[in-house]
Amino acid sequence: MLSKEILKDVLSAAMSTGGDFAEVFVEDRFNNSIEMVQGKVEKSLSGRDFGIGIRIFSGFNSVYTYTCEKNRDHLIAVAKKAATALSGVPKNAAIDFTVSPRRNLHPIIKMPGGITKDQKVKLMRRGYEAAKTYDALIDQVVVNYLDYTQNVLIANTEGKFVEDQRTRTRYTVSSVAKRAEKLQSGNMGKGAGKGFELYDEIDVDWIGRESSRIAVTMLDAKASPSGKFPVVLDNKFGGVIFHEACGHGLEATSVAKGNSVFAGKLGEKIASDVVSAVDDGTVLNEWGSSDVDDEGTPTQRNILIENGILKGYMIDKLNARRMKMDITGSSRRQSYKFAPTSRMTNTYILNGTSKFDDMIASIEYGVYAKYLGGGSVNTATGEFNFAVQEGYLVENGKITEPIKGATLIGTGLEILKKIEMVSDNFDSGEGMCGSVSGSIPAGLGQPALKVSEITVGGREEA
Amino acid sequence: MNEQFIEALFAKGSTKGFDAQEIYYVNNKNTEISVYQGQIDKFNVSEDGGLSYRGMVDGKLGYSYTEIMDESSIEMLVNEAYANAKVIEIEDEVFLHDGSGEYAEVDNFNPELERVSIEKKIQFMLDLEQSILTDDPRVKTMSQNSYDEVESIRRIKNTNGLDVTDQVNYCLAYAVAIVEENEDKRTGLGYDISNSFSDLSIEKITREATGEALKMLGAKSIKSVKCPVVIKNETFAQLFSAYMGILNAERVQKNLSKLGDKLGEVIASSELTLYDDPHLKGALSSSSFDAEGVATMKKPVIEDGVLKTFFHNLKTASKAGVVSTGNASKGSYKGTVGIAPSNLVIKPGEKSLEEVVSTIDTGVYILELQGLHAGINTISGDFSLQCYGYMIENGALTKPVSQITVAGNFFEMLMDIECFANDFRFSILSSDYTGAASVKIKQLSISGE
Repeated sequence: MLSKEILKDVLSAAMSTGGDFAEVFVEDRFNNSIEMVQGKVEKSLSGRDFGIGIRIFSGFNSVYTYTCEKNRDHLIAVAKKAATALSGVPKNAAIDFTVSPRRNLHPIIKMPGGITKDQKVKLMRRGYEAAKTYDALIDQVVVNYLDYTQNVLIANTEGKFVEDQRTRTRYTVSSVAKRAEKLQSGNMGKGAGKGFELYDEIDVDWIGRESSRIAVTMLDAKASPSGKFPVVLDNKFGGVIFHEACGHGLEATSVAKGNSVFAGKLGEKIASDVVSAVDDGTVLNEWGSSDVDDEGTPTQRNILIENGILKGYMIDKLNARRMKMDITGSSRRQSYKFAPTSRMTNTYILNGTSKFDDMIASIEYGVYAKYLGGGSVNTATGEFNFAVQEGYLVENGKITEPIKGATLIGTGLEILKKIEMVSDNFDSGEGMCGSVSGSIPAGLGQPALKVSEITVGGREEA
Repeated sequence: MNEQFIEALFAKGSTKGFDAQEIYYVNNKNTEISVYQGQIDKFNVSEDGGLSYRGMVDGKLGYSYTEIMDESSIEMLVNEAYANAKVIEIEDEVFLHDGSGEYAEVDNFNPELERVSIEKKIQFMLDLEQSILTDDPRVKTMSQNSYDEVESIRRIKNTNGLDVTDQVNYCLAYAVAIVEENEDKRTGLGYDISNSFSDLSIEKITREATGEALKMLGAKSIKSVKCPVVIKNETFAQLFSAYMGILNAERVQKNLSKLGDKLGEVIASSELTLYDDPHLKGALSSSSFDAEGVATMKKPVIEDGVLKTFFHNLKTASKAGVVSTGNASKGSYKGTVGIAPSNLVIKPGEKSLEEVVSTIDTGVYILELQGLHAGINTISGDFSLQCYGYMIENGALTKPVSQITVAGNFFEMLMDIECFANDFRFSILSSDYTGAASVKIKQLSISGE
């Protein structure tokens, strides 16, 4: 994407004011997306992102700049201009690149670029038909499809020269059920670090039906009770709780400066014995996987919590300096427009030994959250919130009626200790995660969990 | 912007078979400065941009975009847009504007901003950090902080005669203070925004960041209760703007808005008047033209509680038999044309916040709402959101409360607006650039212990 000679010249220019490390990130990415509304293609969009990000460190200070221009003189000028923010004596940086061979851990079988738009539209129509015909109450169906291939090149003054290619695709269906004045939506989707072969492996009809089933089920749901109750968070998307409540607080972005409630707690017991969690960027073709992270470090499986003990954080190059700890291969960015920092890849709570049915049976009055929606966290205080997309009351050990409008709130430290049971039905899901280095694909997952009590915000008093 | 590139692109497009073509070009210059413990923590000076292309063939519009403008990209833009147009199935009539209409004079570019030296801007952030750290012994650190400066040029040109350009700039400084007492940590955000550097106030940002965080120390949850609620000005602006999709004509025409058949009817308390004002000086979404190049206009959207208009672009206006309201929008050059408000202004009231609070015996004053992207349903109007703030007891703000949620329904809440205070302010966190004053709502559900 850029010659080694140009890269060396740009890196040298970046080091011209005393920086002690410089890095160039080149990105060339092709995007395709199609939207089908009520069975008709309404939008189809393709485009190419191209740009170069240059980062310079001097101790704990960092400077970042980017541009879409790839000619040598312009890049050198941009690097020099950024370097002026640092004031020091240039270090004689003789750069000798060692080209890292591609790991190719996540092979793509059917590159989306080789699939016609008509084939993609045909696939979308299947999900639409399944969703639309699920129930007479289904009023609206929107199907979205996207794929992209991102080519990156990362070179730095330590001699790193590594290229990676990430291909991802995602398929989502939203349904709206309607009866008289009442409207209710449902959503379901699947994404992976795969090519079009994903759709040979999954059933898009099921995605359509499931989306409509949620909308229809929730249409007549009564308002959620409010108060503190035991809650069962089901597998798969339930993982968003760990992502929000704990994952963000374990990123060096907030730990390095002591701004996280989990800072300084390595080796301490922060969760109940039944909790073990990992962040793993190597999971085969998963949504948050890649060969190398956006600093060119090979991805790896990082143990975060083992039997309730805090074992590790997610750490990028810059924060590794501050924390005096090793990098973990999980430095990520949305695009060349963002300096990379420690982020989650695929974050999982691991299987336990309890049974889902026993969890439900153990609750006299509580909430079963089948699908969770999004949420957010304040990493300094650990306070999190997330929405329940599909939830039910649990009464006398049985799942009874659907409830809507439930929001779960609490703090990460508190909820980790209140996880009483972890089941054996692990499954993974995916989402887009927004933070300092932009919006990135993040995998999540867990088996069903029983939490002894969570504050549930709803509209009705229990 | 390279004229030859546009000419070559349009020539290639008409050879391919497009009847009409348009480019939407954006160029941004960005400066970002963050500090930590008396040093520059992050420094970013960048320039980026991109070009969106769309062409009409057989009555369908195909889109493509690129960030690299070389020979090969002309080929890609034309071929991809053509292939995209060919898979479009909706029969809606599409339009490229011809540049007719009255364009207002909107001046939101201050050439002085860029001339202020980088050193001064860095010093501002260092001084801000000092100011926050020394404000109170309970302030532990300043976490996220940034001086952001953006200069943006936008041009739309098509083969129907449209050729419009505008240039805007602004600077924004914000900081989050972390305060701690008895192992209880709280955070507070302060910010200031302008397109004149000398307007930014360290004192204002400090007071806001530390003041609210300090007052929240020792906050506890409360028992669940239904009570009158006052929502802070910018926080109400955020909640309000999160629901603005319900006035988007495209959603109305797809039956995805409960207000679809309510034009001319009372949808809110008579206290609520909402303007869409694209010509407001110093506001972030001001421009004389929208994303289709159509002239923008100031208009009442809700007047004394009565719904006056939806937001339209050329396509939805044609379908509804009205003229475009100049609300065509594009998130960036990467997107297709959609619809969005410009600057939303909710008319303030006359009483001070204290006077509004004094009318409540027992209630909650909400400082901040969290999880707005997840805890609201724009279709049913239901919301349930984590929040924090203060108790209102006997007409005054008393102890801090946190770990509670507030739940209600947006459509019911509009009817339950009792009054607005006179403390109007724009929020930088709202999805559209929205300003409001603090508001008293008759009743909402608070959930706690």
